[in-house]
Amino acid sequence: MDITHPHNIATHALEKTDKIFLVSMLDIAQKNLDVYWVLNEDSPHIIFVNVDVPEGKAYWLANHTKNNLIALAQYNFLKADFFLEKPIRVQKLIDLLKRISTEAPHLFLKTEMASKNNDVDIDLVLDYSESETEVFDPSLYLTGLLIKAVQSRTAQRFSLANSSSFLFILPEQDSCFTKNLDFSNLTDEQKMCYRSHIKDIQTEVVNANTIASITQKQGLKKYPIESFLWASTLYASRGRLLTGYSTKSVVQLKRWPDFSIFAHDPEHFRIAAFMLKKPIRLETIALKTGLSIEHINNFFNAAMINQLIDIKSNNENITHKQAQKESTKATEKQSLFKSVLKRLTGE
Amino acid sequence: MLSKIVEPQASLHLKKLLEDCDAIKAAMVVTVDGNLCAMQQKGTYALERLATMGSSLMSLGDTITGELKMGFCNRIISENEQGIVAFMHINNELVLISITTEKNSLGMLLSHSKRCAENLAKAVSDL
Amino acid sequence: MRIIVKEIKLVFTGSMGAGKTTAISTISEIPVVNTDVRTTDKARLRKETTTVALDYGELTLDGGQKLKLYGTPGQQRFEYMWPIIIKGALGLIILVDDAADDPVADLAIYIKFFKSYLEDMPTVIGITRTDLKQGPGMPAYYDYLQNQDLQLPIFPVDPRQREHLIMIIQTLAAMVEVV
Ligand SMILES: Nc1nc2c(ncn2[C@@H]2O[C@H](COP(=O)(O)OP(=O)(O)OP(=O)(O)O)[C@@H](O)[C@H]2O)c(=O)[nH]1
Ligand SMILES: [Mg+2]
Repeated sequence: MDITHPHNIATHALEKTDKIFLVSMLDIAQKNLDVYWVLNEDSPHIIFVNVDVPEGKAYWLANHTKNNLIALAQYNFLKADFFLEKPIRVQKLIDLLKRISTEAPHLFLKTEMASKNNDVDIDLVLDYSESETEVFDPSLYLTGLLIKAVQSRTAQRFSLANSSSFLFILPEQDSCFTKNLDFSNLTDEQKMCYRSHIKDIQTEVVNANTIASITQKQGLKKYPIESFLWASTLYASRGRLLTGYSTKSVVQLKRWPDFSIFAHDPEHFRIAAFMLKKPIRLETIALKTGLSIEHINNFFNAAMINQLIDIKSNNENITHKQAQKESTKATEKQSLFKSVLKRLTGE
Repeated sequence: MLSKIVEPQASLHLKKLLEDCDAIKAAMVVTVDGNLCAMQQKGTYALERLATMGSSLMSLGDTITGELKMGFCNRIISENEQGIVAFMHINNELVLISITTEKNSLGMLLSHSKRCAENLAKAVSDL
Repeated sequence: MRIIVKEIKLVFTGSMGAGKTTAISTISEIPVVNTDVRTTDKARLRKETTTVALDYGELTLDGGQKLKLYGTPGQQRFEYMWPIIIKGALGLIILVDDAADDPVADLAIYIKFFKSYLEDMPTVIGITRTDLKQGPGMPAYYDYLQNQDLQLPIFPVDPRQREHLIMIIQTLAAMVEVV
């Protein structure tokens, strides 16, 4: 058990006896849990709220969209996802905490990451602060703003609160302008920008001349709009598929994505190879590449938004046995290619 | 285009080469990048493809001598069961390829070809 | 007995002036074995020299293994060299000069010639010199491949840039899994 990264619990509007109960139950429950839970009112990951009292209920209604609240009540009249029945029982507490750990791991990632600062893989930091849905809705992200700008043919500046502008779009030139980017290696900060929710993005209509002069002054570079439709969708998707598709959808790339203008990690080449060769299910790609389905889904969305995908009828007929047999020889060749790449990139 | 420019002179010299030396059955002048300039022959050899192959070989010859720091590659000789083929530079843009079917005529092949190459070099240097 | 592939041979082929020799020079750690000679015909307008036999470059990998880079001559009269050079290759890179007179036809020449290899050799097509904006642009090539029912990676590259060659090799590596 990792006690250096405890999961913090806070309480709101709990009666004194309930709180004492909770602490002692937690102590007992701990033996049956993989994670170390502590009461820490200052930086909580989850909050137990006594919704049986008006203050607790008001707090719940104001904050439950954050998804880190656990309703504590005699019965679940609020239909809370996470609910603990009063009086508290050890087994119910254990079950609940286990469920939270598996069903909402993002709650715990966020503060851990924030406190660790460096060396975090931003792709793993799941910021679920806005109310989450199962499907990816591009209109809620930069992708949507870009599409709107193209449709209305208005040049715009995008910026995040308290930070300078990060992107200009000039639809009349089919272009965006921003600082020099290395699409094979975007910084965490850049990824954060592209994954932003529209509520965090300030847009301002500007004219082409303004863009030209800023571009000159700040040494901005010109990129195709596709680059940012791709980046925004890739990073904002966070494992969720565009509406209407499932991991059983059979897809095929119309053509190879031009990775010199599309943000990518090395695994995206592998995903693209499977998606190009023949019609394939998203879940099959995950299986064959050993990558997470979220990884595949993000790529699919980005390619879909850029109209690189054909959706096929559901008649994929590749057996896994075949796939297995082919792969032995391939692995050897692959490792050769890996050493070539290692040498070329000097990693 | 070089091959067209040197064609009349090359034809003339090749003709003389084949007349002067009985043993030589065919000869051709090609550019270093594999274009045929002229050819003469006493038989019916299919020589067209030899133009490009000859230029590849001559260039490989130059590459090999360069690698070994042996100076300029004068000629490449291919001795075969039924004859000999010699490849030699005329200048740095043209190559002479000459062929004999007589296995013991290497000396004749080389001396006549060498003279032909030298004369041709002079003739085309004025063009 | 298991045969372990000790040497990796990659072959660059494609149209004249597409940048095969350039590509190999960009990544080779040894001076490229070069069989370029002076261009003497109308191609001279495009390029001073042309490859007549082969290009050869090397890169030593960490384990001491050698990556061997071969380039073919581009001009079609040298096509007799193509099958000689491709023997034993682990991957094929077809480069096509977008700024040539009829680059789609050029691509077709190489696709047809290497058709029998495409089945089980990872292959990538790089369209070069697109920055000159003299060519038909990418959609023309996409259409050609689609009409041929070929699912091959194809994208613009600049063989003078190391990152672009890395991308080509990354793509080949990915294609190994699916050919
Ligand atoms: N502007 C531009 N120039 C390029 C690009 N790629 C290659 N070149 C140039 O084009 C020329 C290509 O020449 P080579 O590398 O000799 O071409 P090749 O494919 O080996 O040609 P052959 O051996 O004659 O078939 C070089 O001068 C390169 O610098 C590109 O993407 N853009
Ligand atoms: Mg070359």
